[in-house]
Amino acid sequence: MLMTDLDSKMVYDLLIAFSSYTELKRKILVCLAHIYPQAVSGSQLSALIGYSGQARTLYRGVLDRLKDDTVILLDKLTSKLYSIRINHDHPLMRLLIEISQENGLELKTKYLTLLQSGEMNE
Amino acid sequence: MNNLQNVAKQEYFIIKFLEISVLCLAIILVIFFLSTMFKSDSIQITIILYDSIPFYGFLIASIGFVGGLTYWRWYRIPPALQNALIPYFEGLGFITKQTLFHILRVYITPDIYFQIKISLHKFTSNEDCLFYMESMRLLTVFQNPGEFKRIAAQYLLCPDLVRQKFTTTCELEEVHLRSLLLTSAIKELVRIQK
Repeated sequence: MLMTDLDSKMVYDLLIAFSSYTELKRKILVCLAHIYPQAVSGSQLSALIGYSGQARTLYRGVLDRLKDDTVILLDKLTSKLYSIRINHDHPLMRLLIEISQENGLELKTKYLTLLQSGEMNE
Repeated sequence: MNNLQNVAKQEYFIIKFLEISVLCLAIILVIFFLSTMFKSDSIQITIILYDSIPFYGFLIASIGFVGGLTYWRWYRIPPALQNALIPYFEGLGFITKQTLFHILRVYITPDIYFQIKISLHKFTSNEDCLFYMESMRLLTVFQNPGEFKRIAAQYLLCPDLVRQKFTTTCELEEVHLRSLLLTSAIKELVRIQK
């Protein structure tokens, strides 16, 4: 099998698997892939994907389900503070990270700017 | 979708109301039974009601009726959800079988199936209508755990090595595509094992 065939198969798998997720989950994964290897808290993530401070809904529902599917890593730092990052050991997520890091420099800069401005406001 | 979510939440609260009603009726029955047995006059209402109507018969009939209603609500999948799920699977040529507690079993072939458990409402996450999907027990997983994990990763499923199952939890709008992914994952693993 040619390398290009293998890549296109993986890209197809990623596309199909990604399509099965809701818009919110897709936004989260795209965001985390762009800012990789940086980890973010729930409130930072909700600000990055354009959700107004309703991080609580992310904590309990969507993030837990993404964690169950082993696509993100959710580390509990305190009772209310989580460290969220994409699971780079997952083959499809590794591919997503590679694609995002290679082609999404502009978006990555925007995400990081938002992250820094958020930190300064805090 | 929002309408279906509202239906699910409404059904959840109806079931909870029925469960509490059965429990309350059972408690009342026990209290009256004990007070009659010990000939206690402390609860005056016992005497009034006991003399006026066939109280025990009425109470037992009520428990039976409300209990039956609860059982039926536990058994059936709300019609709106059923209309969104079952025709889809049957259109794909799958056979569906309903079991207790809102579990729908979908047979891809007579010997390959997966289950969808419908949670009408989850208080912990405050979400309406979540679906927990799990494959049948794939008995030869231990012979090839590497492939099992690879296929799970390919379809964004959780590989449950201990229970030898693929699992995933998803929302209402994800259930159709994710059940197709689960089907593909099961078929691929079965094909490799053969």
